[in-house]
Amino acid sequence: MHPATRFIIAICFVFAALKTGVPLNFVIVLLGLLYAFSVKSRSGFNPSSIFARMLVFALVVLFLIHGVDFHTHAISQKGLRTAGNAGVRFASVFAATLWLVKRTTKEELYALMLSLKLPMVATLLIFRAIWFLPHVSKRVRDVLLAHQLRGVKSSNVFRRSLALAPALYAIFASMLLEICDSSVTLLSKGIWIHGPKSSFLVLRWSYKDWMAVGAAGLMIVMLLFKGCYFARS
Amino acid sequence: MRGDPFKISFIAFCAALNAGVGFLVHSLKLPIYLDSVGTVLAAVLIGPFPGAVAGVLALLIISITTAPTAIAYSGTAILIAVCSSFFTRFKFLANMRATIFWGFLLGVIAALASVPVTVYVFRGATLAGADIFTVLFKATGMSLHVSVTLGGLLTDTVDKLATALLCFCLIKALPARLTSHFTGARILSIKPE
Repeated sequence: MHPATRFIIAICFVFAALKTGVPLNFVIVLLGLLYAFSVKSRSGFNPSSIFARMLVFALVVLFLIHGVDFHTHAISQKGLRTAGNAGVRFASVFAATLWLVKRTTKEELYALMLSLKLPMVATLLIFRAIWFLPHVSKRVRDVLLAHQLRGVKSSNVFRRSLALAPALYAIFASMLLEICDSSVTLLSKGIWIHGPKSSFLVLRWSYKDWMAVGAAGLMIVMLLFKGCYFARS
Repeated sequence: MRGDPFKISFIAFCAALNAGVGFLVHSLKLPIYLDSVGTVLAAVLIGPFPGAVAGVLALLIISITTAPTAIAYSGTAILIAVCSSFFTRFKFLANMRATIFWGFLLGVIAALASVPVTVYVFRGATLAGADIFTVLFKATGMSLHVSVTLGGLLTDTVDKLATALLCFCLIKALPARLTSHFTGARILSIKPE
């Protein structure tokens, strides 16, 4: 499937979850969540456990904020509805993002950005940031290990806060040198030279994509005009 | 549109730093986020626009790796970048006292800018530590708006103050051969107190 089709389907899913009423939106979101969590990752990155933790945290917070009346120590029905609606909003975004992250590979995203004729600077920024992330995490781990080996005291919050500045300085200074090197590498690789590149993925728009986009568009139109339809009938 | 590869790499690094510093803070078991360090550094060292780009890019990364709702706070990230860059005119990150004052103000601005998104879009949940304060304030009978505002003010002021102080230490400690790359290095020429 074309990555653009996946983005359209994800947007339509969130739209459907927001526009349909209770209990249909709960069913849609629940099915979406089940599918997003169970689907196999093609991208080599699977944030399912992190997303699950964050979603549970969000639902608990929403329940405590809206659902519980701390004065009467009772559960408010109106508050539960508010928490439920907000929970559906959270869950739909989580499900759509998780599905996109698991099913879209970096190569597909890069090819999509190129085919959309986005500025090269924007594409480069996103992919450099994604490239830097594991490097920064690795450097953080190295610096923390070095601190531990040198016996940096971490008995209380104040001591740990004091350890933060030297740790961050070591990461920042070492990464700056790496940035200098990598920027020269980028130039030498000809990042600003236009024209086809041999290693790029060529995206093709198939009849499946047309069908998926058509179905998604039809669903959006139906949801937008459902008020008129029900009023007439 | 072309750009300086060093600046592009630096903005991308600042975005990754925003997203990656959470691991450092978590490992040191500190009750702050420091998720704006890269935004402030990019805004002060290169300019408000690169700072805003770094902030939004970091939120995009956080959205696809940790919390998909983070991207909704893009406005706050842009505001932090613009304010950080503007505050350098008043010695922000140039001396300690000014850094503390403007860092605190940055926290207040960030907290207030986040309130509408938290209240109207997410009905009070931010997926961060501020939620605990929101629940506590709401339990005392305050409205959702007041609870979210107070929770944000409590956490964001401390966080942005710590961020500003860290950026101050980082910039002061950098050797001249590294700072020479940045257009905003004029503030670096001011000697520490």
